[in-house]
Amino acid sequence: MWLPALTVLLVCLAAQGCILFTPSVTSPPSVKILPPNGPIFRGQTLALSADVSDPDGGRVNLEWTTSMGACPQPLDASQRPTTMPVGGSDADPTFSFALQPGDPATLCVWVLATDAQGATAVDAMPISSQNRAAVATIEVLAPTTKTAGGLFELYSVFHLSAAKSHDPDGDVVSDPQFALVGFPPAAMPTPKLVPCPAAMPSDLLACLDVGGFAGTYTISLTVSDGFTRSDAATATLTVDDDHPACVSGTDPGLDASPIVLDPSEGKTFSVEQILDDGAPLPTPADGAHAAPTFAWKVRRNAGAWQPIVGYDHINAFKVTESTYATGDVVDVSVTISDGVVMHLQPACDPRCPAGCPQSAQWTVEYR
Amino acid sequence: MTPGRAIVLGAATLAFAACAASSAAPGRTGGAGSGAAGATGSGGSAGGAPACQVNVLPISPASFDGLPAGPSSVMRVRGEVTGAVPPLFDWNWTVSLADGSPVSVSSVGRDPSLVEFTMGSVGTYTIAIALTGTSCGGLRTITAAKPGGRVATFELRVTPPSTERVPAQTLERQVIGGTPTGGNVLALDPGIVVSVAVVRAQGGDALPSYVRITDATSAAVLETHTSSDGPSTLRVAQGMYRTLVVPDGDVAPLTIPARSAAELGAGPMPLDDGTTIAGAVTDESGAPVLGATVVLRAGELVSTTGTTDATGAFHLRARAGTFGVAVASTLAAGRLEATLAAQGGLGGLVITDATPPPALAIKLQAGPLVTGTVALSAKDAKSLTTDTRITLAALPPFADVATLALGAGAPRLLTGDVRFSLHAAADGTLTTGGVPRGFYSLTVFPADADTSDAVTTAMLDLSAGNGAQAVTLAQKVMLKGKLLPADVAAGVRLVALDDRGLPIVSEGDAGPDGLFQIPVSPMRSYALRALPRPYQALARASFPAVAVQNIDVTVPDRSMPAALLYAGRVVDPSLQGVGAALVQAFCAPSTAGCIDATTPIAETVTRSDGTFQLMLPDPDGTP
Repeated sequence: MWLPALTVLLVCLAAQGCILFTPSVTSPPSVKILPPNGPIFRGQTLALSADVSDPDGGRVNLEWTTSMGACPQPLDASQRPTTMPVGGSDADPTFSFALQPGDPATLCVWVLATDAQGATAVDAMPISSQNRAAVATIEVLAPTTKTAGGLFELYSVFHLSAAKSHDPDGDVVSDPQFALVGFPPAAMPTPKLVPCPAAMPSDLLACLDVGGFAGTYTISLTVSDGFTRSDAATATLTVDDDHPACVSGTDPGLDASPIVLDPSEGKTFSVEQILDDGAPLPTPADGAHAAPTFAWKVRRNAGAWQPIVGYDHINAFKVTESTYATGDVVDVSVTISDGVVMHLQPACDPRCPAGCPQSAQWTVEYR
Repeated sequence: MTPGRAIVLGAATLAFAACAASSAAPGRTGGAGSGAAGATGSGGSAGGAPACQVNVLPISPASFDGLPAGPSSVMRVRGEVTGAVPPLFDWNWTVSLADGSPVSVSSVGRDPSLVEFTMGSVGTYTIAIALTGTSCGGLRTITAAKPGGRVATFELRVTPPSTERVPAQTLERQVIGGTPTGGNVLALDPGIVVSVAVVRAQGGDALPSYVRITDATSAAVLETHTSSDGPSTLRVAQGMYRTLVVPDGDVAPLTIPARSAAELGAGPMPLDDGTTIAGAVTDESGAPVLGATVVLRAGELVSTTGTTDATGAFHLRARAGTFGVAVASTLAAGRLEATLAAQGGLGGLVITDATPPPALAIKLQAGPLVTGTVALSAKDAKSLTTDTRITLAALPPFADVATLALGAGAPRLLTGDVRFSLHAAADGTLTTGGVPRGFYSLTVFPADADTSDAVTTAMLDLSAGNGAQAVTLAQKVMLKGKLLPADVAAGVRLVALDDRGLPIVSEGDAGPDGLFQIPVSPMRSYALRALPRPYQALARASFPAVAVQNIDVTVPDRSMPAALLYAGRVVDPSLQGVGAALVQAFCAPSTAGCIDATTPIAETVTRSDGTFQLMLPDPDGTP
């Protein structure tokens, strides 16, 4: 340590007396790394600053380096690493460096201050970085459509993805673990999350087939950053109650009645489209829906209705030629069902025609 | 993906076959336009130039038609940029199969507009070109077929939802055996909006009417009922249409010969009342018959319905033509209908606009009516309830059941029929009510389809007067068979439908060994349809009709057709996808093996983007 005193050299000449002067004396600079504000996280870019001064008032150059592990106590300047130094000066006494995700939790930041005279000072500060857990995120890839009420349709097959999970420290997110933590009590058999068929990469996806059970399904997801597991993210998937089915397309159209036919003509009446979460018609090729049923009946001249048996699964009914006579007026009716006795959700699919028709009726006038 | 770089300096249409290879650095095309037109510049097109697009042209083979699949089937194609050519772009080629799997693409020489790929497997190959850095691209779908695959034609009936302003229409498409295809676009004709309005010729008031429009080619029918509120709107595809108009009131119906879709909606159809025809219906004693109906028919054209009053008089209205006559008198449980054919031995009733026809004198001479009583019995009580349907028809038709006289002319003889719909009493007894003497066919439809009791037809002899008879419902027999391949066909639902169109249906499922047995009513003939489950890679099938006697019958083994993927997209005239459209496939009547051209062999609804998938029968046989 240099003392802050001036050495005064007096040179006395006997005849001319004494001349007083100040000789060239160097004082070492001082440097002190200022502690960072707040916690330090792995993967974070950290900016440190130092308090630098030089009693001599000259420029002070800085040289920042880091070493693994804790700083030596007491500070031993000889242990200061010298490789890959980052320069600086008292004019800009800051040092920025990125804590790589793979860095150990503690390292030592060194700074060497050198003044214009070559005098030096060293300081070091231990930096302890903390690991932040990854953030799990559940993304619902499918289905992409919802009901008008913002709910998922019955018979949905959910494709859940963990791909949007991330780690704030920049670590690689891995080992997603989905869990079904809540489901409607009536769901039988117990629904399960399963790997999605033919999905790539399959380890980031999970599939859930809710079948015909409405209600709320709660999915949780945790992921790992290699150090710790994340907090659980949850997704709540509310599956709409079964809606009543409606007849949305017939042939002939219902507005054609009364239809005029020759008794020698046959006529086929058909339900061409049914809108329903549980039993649409035609059954979509990619769906696993229950088939609707049909109750057909006819009556002649406003007499008693006669059910047509055996047509429960047939969406078309043909009135055979020569069944009725000139002057007869025949009504043909069909009522559809999706097999649900009591719909908890009384409203039809919003795409249904007004009145949510669950039956269709045509009138034929034979002449 | 095969990227290549290109610089195009000219603004003109470039045929890269002519210029690219010689003037381009490797992987990059430097174009000076075509020939003398190759002005330099900073790119972009001259004002008004059409939008840039890339056409895919076949180089080798020289056509996209009839391409075979196989390890040596290499397709070489060239991209041709047209329209407003951007100044700088990369060629980005991708080729994929219908399921999205990529196909390796190779550059040919130094020309980035020229690539080739191997069509190793059958199916649809979608060739996509994107000129990166631009919005310019091109798309082409080609099919590599199984060599020697048979071709089948299907008719695809597309019915857009009512919210779409596009008419239902039928498009014909071919598939090649063993060759699934994707990327098929069904572009719908915009059609023509037809405003259907029927008005009175005098006064122009709206005349509510039943209107039937029949496609003269396909016989497809559109029906509507106009109201007094205004015209009905129909949207029809281009074509020729016949029209039948049947007004609700006392106005004679009208038929209009085939005319174009544009002419259909040319304006309201004015109708006068037509020619009035009067007459009377009496019985053998000359007493008036109350409540009889009289209708004249000339093919599709009919008259109004005349109904007799207490004096037996009626009147009706008709247009000019040669008509047959139908007279239906009300019996206890149905009608006795007497008819004179329009082209019968004595000819029909000729009506002209000029001369009012003489009055029609119709005499019913069915003789004294008799009553039949039937004691019905069944093995299962559920079969005989008040819901049990029973029909009664004359067997054979009655001869000379009525006469028709026109003025002083000789009476013409009418043949007759009885059409009854009956209900059994709760105790299973049945009374026919009064019917003419003769032989009748009585058919009983059990009230419950799940019992062993069969739909039973019995003859009822009432030729000698009132009669009583006991009818015990027959028992169902088994229609047995086996679907092949047995392991694949397990679970297929088989439906047996009465071949004559009576509402008689039975169902059964093929077991794990492909065997099936369906309980059916005996003494009938059944068309057999096989309906695979959605998860099965099989297509629906119709098999030849099977006659079933009183014992179990085993039909020859039937092979299920393998399903062939036909994926596509329904688009409207502006090429926007049409969602929620019903797509039904029918076999074309001209195709060999098409047993039933009226029942869809596949059907689905389009997704919101218009895409759909159908599983059509593979013309190349079994799975």
